[in-house]
Amino acid sequence: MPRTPKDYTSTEGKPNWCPGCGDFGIEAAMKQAMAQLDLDPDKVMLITGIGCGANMPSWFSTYGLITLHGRAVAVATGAHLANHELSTFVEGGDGDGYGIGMGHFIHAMRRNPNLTYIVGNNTVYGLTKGQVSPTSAKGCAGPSTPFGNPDPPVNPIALALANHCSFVARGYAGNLPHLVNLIKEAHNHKGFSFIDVLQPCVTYDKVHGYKYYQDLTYDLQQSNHDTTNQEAAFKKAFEPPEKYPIGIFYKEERPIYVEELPQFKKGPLTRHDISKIDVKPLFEEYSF
Amino acid sequence: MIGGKAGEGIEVPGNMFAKLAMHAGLWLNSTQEFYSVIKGYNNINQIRVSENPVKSHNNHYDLVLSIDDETVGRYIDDIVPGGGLVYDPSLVSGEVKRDDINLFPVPMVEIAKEKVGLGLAKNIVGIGVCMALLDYEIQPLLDLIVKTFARKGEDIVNKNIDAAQAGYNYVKEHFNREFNYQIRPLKEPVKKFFVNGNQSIVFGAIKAGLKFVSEYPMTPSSSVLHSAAKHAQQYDISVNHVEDELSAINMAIGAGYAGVRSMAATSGGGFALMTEAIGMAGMIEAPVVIVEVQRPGPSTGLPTRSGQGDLRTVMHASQGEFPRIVLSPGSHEEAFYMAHEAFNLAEKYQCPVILLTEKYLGEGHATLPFLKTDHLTVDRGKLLKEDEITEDFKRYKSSEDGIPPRSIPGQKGGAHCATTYEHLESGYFTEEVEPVKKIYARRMKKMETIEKNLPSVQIEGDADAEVTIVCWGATYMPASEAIDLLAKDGITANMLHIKYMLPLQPGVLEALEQCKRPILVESNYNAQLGGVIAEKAGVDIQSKILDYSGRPFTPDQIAEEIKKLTKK
Repeated sequence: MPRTPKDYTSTEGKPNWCPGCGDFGIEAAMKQAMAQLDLDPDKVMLITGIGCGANMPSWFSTYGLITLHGRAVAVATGAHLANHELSTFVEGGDGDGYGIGMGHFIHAMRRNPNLTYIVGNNTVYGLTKGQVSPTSAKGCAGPSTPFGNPDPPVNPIALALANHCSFVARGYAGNLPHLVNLIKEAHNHKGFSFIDVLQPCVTYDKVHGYKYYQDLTYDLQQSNHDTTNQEAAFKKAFEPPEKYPIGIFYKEERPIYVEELPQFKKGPLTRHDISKIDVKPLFEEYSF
Repeated sequence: MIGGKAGEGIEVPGNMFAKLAMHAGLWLNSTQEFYSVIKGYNNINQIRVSENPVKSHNNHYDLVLSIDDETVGRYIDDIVPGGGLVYDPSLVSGEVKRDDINLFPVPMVEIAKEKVGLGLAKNIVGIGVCMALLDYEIQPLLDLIVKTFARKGEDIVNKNIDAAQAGYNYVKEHFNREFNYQIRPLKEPVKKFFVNGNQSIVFGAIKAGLKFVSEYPMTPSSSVLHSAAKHAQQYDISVNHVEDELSAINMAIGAGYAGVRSMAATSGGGFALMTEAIGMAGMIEAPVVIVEVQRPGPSTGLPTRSGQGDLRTVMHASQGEFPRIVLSPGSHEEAFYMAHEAFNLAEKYQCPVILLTEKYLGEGHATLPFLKTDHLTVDRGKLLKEDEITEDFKRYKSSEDGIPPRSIPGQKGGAHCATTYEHLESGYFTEEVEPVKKIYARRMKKMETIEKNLPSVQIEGDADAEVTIVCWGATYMPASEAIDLLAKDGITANMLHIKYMLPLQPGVLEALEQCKRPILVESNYNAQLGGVIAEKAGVDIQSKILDYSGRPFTPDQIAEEIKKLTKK
């Protein structure tokens, strides 16, 4: 029997997002991708931060871990290095990943662990009720910026391209078939794969709705984009706000973290026998 | 003692001297006092050598090797009568004068320039001088130079050999042997090794099955990272120098959650950054070991000095209430065993365990006999094997002792959602009153279970002693030697050394009830252990010896203070 999204769905509770939230699209796409990849739910870790989207693991039947605001990538890196044979997905929002957790994001890209990092980017802080986020446009108003956001937004795609990210992509929560494929490609890519997912917040952002993204997104892979050309990828990264290319901007094959080090050659660290470790050679080494 | 400027190399001759003493079969204790700079400023390396195990450092010197302009002025008065001072007259301004010690002026810079072509090799000349003064054969020093400088090429090796030999010969040619100290090789020495406290912790951790380390360098904890990294490939450990302490602790918790024995190390400032994540480990019940090597604060404080000001910090850091364990070793040997124990406790009780030490122990070196390890076992607590996971498995299930069964990612049938939100037995989040109360109480129950299973505190030494030194951490080392010093003056003292800080080790009240005169000795201002004892055991110890200078207690400092307090 082929697996279905239901195989990845928790029997306990239902998502508590606002009706119409982009998180439903991301949830559905992730479960569909996992099913199509035929992943054993017991061999999947889904690790998130804190935020609306980061509540995701509650409604999955895989191993899930909801960590702290901004720390998902760090926790997931540790968990992945402990058991690198599992499929590890990291998920969170733009505040989580590009605000409080920005440092971990950048350094994870350098390290290139085999993780799939999905950021639901709705350009707003939802769970704390509508403040501007690191991806909010300059000038946009919110409860923390009643006279307009004084800062220009970060560019997550350009940031990833500039920091050795080996798989850089953008999806749209309202284009499910496209997002499912993107998540599958990201999972199958060896290394740190990053998907920035455009996602409407129907409660706090009346500008970037489904109609807005529907009209302005177009598929990079339908427009002769060369995913091995970093320079071309950079150009595409600076296209919004007029247009939003979605799809794979850039990917490269380079050794992943666990391949660089002999410690992992004997299989996942969780399987190493720790019952009879001999430290006498250490005593000898420090003897004279 | 060897004194010189930072960057001039007092570490090399210090290590050489230590190794040569070990070669002779002797026991050692060595500490360094240095400024938080890379070049310049006077640094010292204090090495104590004995035919018997050395309990502590002290600040009275039998032989001082000064390779700069400052050491003589700063420390000449700390040389014991009959002791010796080796210095280079060309480096010292003013008169060097003390009638009751032996002065050995040696033109070390000139000899170094002549033999190596580099004045900086004065330290090697100096070590040659010391070996001659101590009447020890030169061959082991020459062998050691070959070993130390081998990778720098034959030319460098030969020049340094010439420098050491020249220093050695200078003594033989210029001074009659009037110096009353000698290194005599022991006939049947115990086999031993020489490490600092941080290395000892790493070795204990490796024995316990350490598989993951993440750290951001911070003095005085960095040698935990260095030592783990050095042995990473030998013992298949993932050792990660990460972007900050937030990453260090979160990665370590991730690795612990996923099923390996993991550790993060830092000092007070880094620990402050780890605070939020420690609560996460408490909430999701993930095992993790955090080594906190204290330096004096607040804030940047005294980066290269020692102190015990972080006890309350590590006991209380992070919002809310959750089980955690705080241990603090008293010596290099205890550091090894307690590090090993920390990993068992973390998995047994599924909580963060903090191993609290200080620069004095962490960076101070000592010789240890080859430690017994046969009795050490790995206890993974209620971590289930795959075939033990039943259909009704609940990760946060209620239990008598408060400890739930545990599965790790990848195990068939053990999948669950772990979350930092309050949750049900399944792990699914909740805000409802009754389930919240139930799981909160169950989690906290672990503290009772932990406390019940900790060994009771023991009074060390004469049960009828007039005075009891109450202390924690590495104050143990000078305090135990202070007891010997007091005995010489006819004052009997024993010691109550507390090793488990949280939960407070059982038996403190009972022990104190048997003490005639407890005196707290702590390297902080507020007598933090005293406060904990007052709070948990209900005894407010009035006599306190506190030092927050950033320098570790010396045995005679403790003995003198006790004498003042007990003067009738």
